[in-house]
Amino acid sequence: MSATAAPAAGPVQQFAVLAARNLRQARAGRSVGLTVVFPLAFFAGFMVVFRRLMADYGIAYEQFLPPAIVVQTTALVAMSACYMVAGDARSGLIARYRTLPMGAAVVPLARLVVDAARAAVAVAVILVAATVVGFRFTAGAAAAVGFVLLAVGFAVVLAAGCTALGLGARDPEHVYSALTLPYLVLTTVSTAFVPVDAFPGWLQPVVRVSPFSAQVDALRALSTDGADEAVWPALVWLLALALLFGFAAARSFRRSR
Amino acid sequence: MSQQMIQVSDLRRSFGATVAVDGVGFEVAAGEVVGLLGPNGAGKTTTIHCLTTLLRPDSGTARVAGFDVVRQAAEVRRSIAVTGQFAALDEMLTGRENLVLFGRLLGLGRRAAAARADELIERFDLGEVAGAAVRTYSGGLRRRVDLAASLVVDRPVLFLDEPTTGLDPRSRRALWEVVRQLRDDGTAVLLTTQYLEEADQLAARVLLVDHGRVVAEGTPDDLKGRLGGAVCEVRIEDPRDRAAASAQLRAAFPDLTEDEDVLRLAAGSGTLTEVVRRLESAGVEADDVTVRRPTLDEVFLSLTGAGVPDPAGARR
Repeated sequence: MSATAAPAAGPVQQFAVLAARNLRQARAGRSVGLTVVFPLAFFAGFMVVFRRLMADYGIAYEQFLPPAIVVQTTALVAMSACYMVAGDARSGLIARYRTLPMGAAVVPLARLVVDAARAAVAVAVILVAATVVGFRFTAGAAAAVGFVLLAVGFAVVLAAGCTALGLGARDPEHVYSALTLPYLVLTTVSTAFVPVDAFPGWLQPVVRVSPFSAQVDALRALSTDGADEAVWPALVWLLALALLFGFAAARSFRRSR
Repeated sequence: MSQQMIQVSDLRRSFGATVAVDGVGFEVAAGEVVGLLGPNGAGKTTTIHCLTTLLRPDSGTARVAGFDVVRQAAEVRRSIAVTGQFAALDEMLTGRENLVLFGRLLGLGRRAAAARADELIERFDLGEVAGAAVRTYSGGLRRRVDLAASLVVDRPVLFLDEPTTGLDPRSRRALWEVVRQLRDDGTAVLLTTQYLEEADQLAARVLLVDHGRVVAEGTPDDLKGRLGGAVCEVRIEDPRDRAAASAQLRAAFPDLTEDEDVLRLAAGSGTLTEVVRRLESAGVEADDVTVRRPTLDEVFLSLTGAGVPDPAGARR
C-alpha cells in the first residue's frame, strides 16, 4: 500500500473536525424540533393557560415565564446531548475514538461547543417569541447579555454532566428516559412556573435551594428588575456544577476501566 | 523481520468475580499474523481491549510497538490500527465521509484525507456505495468500510477483532487478501476469530484460547499434527452396504467409528490401499473415500472441549 506517514494529529484539528461532525448530527436528528418546536409549544401552552390567572395575582406572566422556558429548554438540550453521546457509544464510535491518539478533552469539548450553539439557538427562539407577546429586557443591555451567557452556560454545564453519563452508557433510550424523572422534578419543584410561596410550606425549603430555582431567579433578575443579588446563587451553582461535571466528562472519556 | 511488535506476558484481567484473561502471554513480530482462536467468552476480545488501551490490565505486562500499554498509552495509540467487533462508524455519514473523518482525526489535511479515502474506496471496492449513508449498508459492507477506516494511516500494528464476522465469502476472501498484503508490508497483525478456516488461511501461528488461557500454540500444521496424523473417511449412503463395509473394515481397523453415513478411521501408510481392497472383497462400492489431515476445528474441539481428544469422533 502507499505510504501514508502517520502525522501528529493536532488537538485543534481534531476538535474542529469532531465539532463539525456533531453539529451535523444535531441538525440531522430530532434536535431541531427539540430546540425550536418544544420550547415554543411550552411557551404558548403556558401562556394560554395561565396568563389571565397569574394576572389576577398581579404577575405579568409574559415577563415571568420566558426565563422558566429558557431553563427548561436548556435542560432538554443537555439531555439530548446524553442521548447522542450514548448513541455514539453504542455504535462503537466512541470506542474507536478511544483507540485513536486524541486528548482526553477533545471528545467532550467537541460535544459541548455544539450544545452551546444549540442552547443559544433555543434561547434566541424563545426570546423572539416572548418579545412578540410583550416580554422586554428592562434591566439594561449588559444584563441582557448576562442573561444569554448565563442561560447558555447553564446548558453547557448540564450537558457536561449528561455527556459523562452518556459516555458510560450503552443504551441511549434507557439513559434518556432515566433522566426524564429528575428533569421533571427539578423543573416543576422550582420557581420556574410559580413563585415559591405557591408551594406547600414543607416543600418551600427544597424549592429555595434548587439549582433550577437559582437559575430561573437569576434570569428573572437579569431580564426584569436588575436585582443583582439574585445572580450570585446561580453563579455559585454554575461554578460548582462546572467543576464537578467538567471533571466527570473529561474523566469519562479516558477512564481507566 | 524479527522485531517483536506485540509482547504480552502473564496478562490478567477480571470483571468482578469473572476472570476474563487469566495469564496470557505471547509475542507477535513485524510482518507476522498471529491468530487468537477461541469460542465466545474465551477472553480474546478482553485481550485485544487491554492491548489497544481500552481496558487496563489487572496485572502482567503488555508492550505494543515497544510501548507499555498502561504507562505509555498515548504512544501505543499512535502505533495501532484497530477494527473491533462492532463496526465503529458514523451511521449518519456516508462511507466516504467516514473515511475522511477518520483521516482528519488522525491529522491528515483536507486534501490528503480526501485522496486517501478515494484510494481506500478503490482498494476495498466500495465505489458504488461510498456515497450512501452507512446506516443503509449491509453488515458485510459496514465491516469493509470499518476495516478501511482503520487503515486510513499506516500503523505498524493492526488489531482485528473478529474482522469477518457476518461477511459473505467473497468479502471475506477480499479482506484476507488485504491482511496478507499488510503482513507482507511488515505490519504485525493480531487477529481474533471463531473461524478456524480464517486462522488456517491467515495466521502463521495460532493461539488456542479457552477460559482466559492459551491452551495450545503453534502453526496450524503443528496443531493439526497433535491429533496424530491423518484420517480416512469412507462415505457409503446405502445402509446395508455400509454395514457390510463396516464389518469388513473393523477387522483390520478396530478404531473405526461411524458418523451418519461416514466410516472414519486413523490413516497410516498403506491404509488407503487396504481400505479399497477390503471394500472390494465386501463387494461394496463406496460413494467417496478420502484421506485428510484433521481440521483445526477438530484440534480446537479436542483441546477446548470437555471430552477426551477423539479425532475420529470429532465433527467435521
